[in-house]
Order: sequence, then C-alpha cells, then structure tokens
Amino acid sequence: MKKEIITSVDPKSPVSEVFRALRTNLQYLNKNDGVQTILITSTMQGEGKSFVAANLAVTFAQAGKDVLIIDTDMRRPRQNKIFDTDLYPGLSNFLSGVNIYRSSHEVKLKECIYKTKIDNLSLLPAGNIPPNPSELLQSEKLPELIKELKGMFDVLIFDGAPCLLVTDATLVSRLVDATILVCSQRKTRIEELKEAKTRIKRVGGNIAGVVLNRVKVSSKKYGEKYYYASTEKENKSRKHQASKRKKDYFAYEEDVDDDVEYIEPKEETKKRTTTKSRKSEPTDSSNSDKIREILAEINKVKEDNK
Amino acid sequence: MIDIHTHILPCIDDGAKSIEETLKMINEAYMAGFTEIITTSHYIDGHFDVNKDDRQLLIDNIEELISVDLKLHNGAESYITPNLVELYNEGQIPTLANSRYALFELPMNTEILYADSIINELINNNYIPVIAHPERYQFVQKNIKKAYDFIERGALLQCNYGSFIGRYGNEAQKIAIKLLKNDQITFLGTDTHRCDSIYTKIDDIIQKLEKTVGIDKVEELTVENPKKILNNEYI
Repeated sequence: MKKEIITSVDPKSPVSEVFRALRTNLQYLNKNDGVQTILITSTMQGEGKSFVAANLAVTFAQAGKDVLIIDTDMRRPRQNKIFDTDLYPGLSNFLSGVNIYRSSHEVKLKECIYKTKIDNLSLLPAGNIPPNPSELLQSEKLPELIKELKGMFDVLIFDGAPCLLVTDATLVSRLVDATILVCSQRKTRIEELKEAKTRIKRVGGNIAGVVLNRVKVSSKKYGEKYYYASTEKENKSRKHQASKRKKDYFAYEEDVDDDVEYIEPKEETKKRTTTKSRKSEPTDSSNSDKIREILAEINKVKEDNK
Repeated sequence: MIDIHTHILPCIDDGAKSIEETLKMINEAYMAGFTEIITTSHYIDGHFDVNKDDRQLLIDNIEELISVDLKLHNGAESYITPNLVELYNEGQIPTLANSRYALFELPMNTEILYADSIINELINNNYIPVIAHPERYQFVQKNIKKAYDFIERGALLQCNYGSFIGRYGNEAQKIAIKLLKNDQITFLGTDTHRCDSIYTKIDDIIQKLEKTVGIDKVEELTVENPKKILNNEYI
C-alpha cells in the first residue's frame, strides 16, 4: 500500500478528520437517497485529485460501505499504483471489449474488479491506455456499466481526468450524482476553476463543492507561555441574553415534563435494574474479542491483588 | 468534583493504553479532588465503536479494582456523523451517565455543514447536546460567534481544564477564557488521555479559575452542573 492512503492509519489524525468530514458532509447533502456516485476531478494535473479520490473512498469503506473506485483517468492512470493492483484488464478493456492479451476472449466485468487490501474497497482500474479515451467514455456501455455497478456497490468513486485538459471528466460528470473539484492552494487559478465549473454545469453535472488541497498547516506551538487576561470587562448583555435564552428554552421543556412526572422515577428504577443484572460476557459485535482481551487483563490484575 | 470528560477506559480508544494506566489515572483523579468520573471514550463509527453494554461491562470490572472512594459512570464522546441520533436511540452510544445529556465532538480543523441539524435532531429526540471543547476547534477560534450560535440552538458547552493553562495553544486559551467570562460554559472536563498529565495540574487551574470568575461559579462548573447530569436533571 502506498503511503498516500493516510486515512487508514490514525482515525484521530488531522487528515483523517478532514476526509471524514468530507464524507459525512457528502452523505448529508442527500440524506434520504444518499449520494451514491461521486466524481473527483480537477482543473489541471497535479492538484491531488487521485489522492483525494483514494482517501475519500477509504473513509467510505471504513464507514462500512461497499465501495468501488473507478479510474476513468485513462490517460494517466494512478489508482492501480496507489492500491497496488494490475492496470488491466480494466475500464478501457471492458468498454472497448478488447483485451490485448487474450483477444479471443470476451472481457467480463468480474475480471476487471480487483479487491484492495482495505476491507470493503475494490478498484476498477483504467485498463490499457487506449488511443481514444473520450470516445470510450461516450459509449453507451458506460451508463449501462454504472447502472450495473450501482447494484453491486453502495458507493462509486470516479477518479476523472483534469477537466480543462480533456473532455473525459466532463463526460462522466453528467452520469454521477455529485462532482467534486479538487484545487491546490497557490496553484489553481480562480478563472480556471470557474471555467471548470461552467463546463460541468453546461453538460448538466452537479457540483457538490470544492476541495482545497495542499493547504499549508502552521505547526502550532504547544505549551506556550502562560497567558491569562487581566480584568477585562464582562460582556454583561451577551451573558444575560445567553443565559436567559437557555433558561427560557429549558423552562418550556420542564413545563412539558411536569405533565408526565411519573416518567422520572421509572427511569431511575430502570437504571437500578440494569446495574443489578450485570452481564459477564461482551455483546456480540466486531469488538467482542477485543473486550475479552481487556477483561482478561483486568482479571490478571484482580488475581495479583489477591 | 465530577469529571464529565475522560478517556480512562483501557484500549478502546486513544486513551489509557493498559488497565494499569487506567488505575493510575483513577488514583490521580481522586488525589486531584474528583469523586465521580464519567468515562467518555471516543465513539467514532468504524474506528472506536465499542458499544454501550460493553463499556458498562468494562466499568463493572474495573470498579472492583478501585481502592479509592471514586465512582465511574458510563458515557462517550461521540464524533459527529449524520446518523448520530440513531446511534444514541439504538443504545449503541451511551449518553453521559445514561442521562439525557449527549456529549459529542466536531473535527478540529475543518467545518461540518450539518452540525446545526444534528443539534436540532438531538433536541427533538429529547437529548441535551453537549459540545466537547469548542475552544479547540479552528472554526471557533476564527469566529467565536460559532460557539454562541451553538448555545442559541440549545446546545451546552464543555470546556477543557487544560485550555485555561494553554495546553492546546494560545488561541484555545483565549477562547476558553472569553467563553468563561461571558458565562457561556456549562461544564468543565479534563479530556484526560494519559496518566501524569492534567490531573496533577487541577489545583493550579482551579485557583486561576476562582480568581477570574469567583469560587461560586467554579463550584457550579465543576460540581453542581455535572451533578445535574448524574441526576438527569435540567440545568
């Protein structure tokens, strides 16, 4: 696995947080139906779209979704390198029906989908670099393929070619629920970003937002010199407003509660009974082995204390 | 005092790394003046997702080992996610001491577009949203009004003791002091992850807080308001 898959390491790292926020923001955009197909593209090359696509896919997979990355950047395919799989047979082979090594053999979709080392995450690589990527992406086979894949996976992430260089990604943008434009701080020009947006909108694509990549992060100094404000005047009005609003709000809640007063003692007894009927076994979950291990450690200490 | 934000349960998040460390932290907490602790190990879907019942099982077993007069309660610091309320309703994530108070955190360095909806949803489902350490979020540091907005929507704020001595940097310290002076904090918590860290500094911090807002206010933040969580009362 390449070191680009940074989201699989530490769930509390800043970069994991950013991708998790991106994932949940996308999920929330369309809460009822859920966004199922997402295209990641950029204006120019080297802005980090493949990196964003790969890590976004990993965060979806970590959230328990069955995810497929589809590398539609057939001119400069990257996902097979990131996830360490073969390049072909892949998308171009499936769309063209040509498998250069086994010409007599029809290309089956199953052969083109590779499992990655990350649970729930598969890859449909770009395939052999074809002479005519735009043509292939315009073929009627692509919408059919997407329809079929939608039935097989929860989320499809498309890595698209930069949309100002070639029309490839724009072609894909009309077939997906949401398109994300990746741009790079101090590199992407605002006019180009606008141009990219116009092109995607023109063909009926739906832009979910822009991801700003390569942002310089200042390494903040911790344990800085002790600082305490002196006798700054209290902002009385705001203070009172805030606490009054709080009181008003909960006063209403309390009124409601008065009518159903008996609920409170009920909750109390419920609490008591749950502590009485102690369980000794972990619940049946993906964590049960871990819990058993920790309990064993606790028991060891108990034994030592005796 | 009652600590409502701790990562003392062993090996289920990035907090205590062994049962020995857990016990050490509990002793430190007791020495610092805490008599009750709500354990709030992270709940991040797909990463740190030990459920409510398993947490209780650990707590029951750990309590048998505690030599000091200190009680543990179940709880979690959940990470904002679109299905947060479902996870609470299903009993997957515990609320604070099984009360109506739900402690959750937001990302440090980026903004969530649906935070307000989650607050509303929690309130509509009879939970009281408690936002963990607002002073540490970059978007609050850039614009403190974001923290005021949370209060207006009905959320309560929990700040970290360590923020008042600059443990999370200068900006977090400034924000925490401002929120304190504006009377916008409802709870304080240690957010402790390791032994030999924040519990040894509590005395100094309390003294400083008392100098700033007086002894009564500090009592409210460290004892009275947390007690209302334990008793499941409104504030």
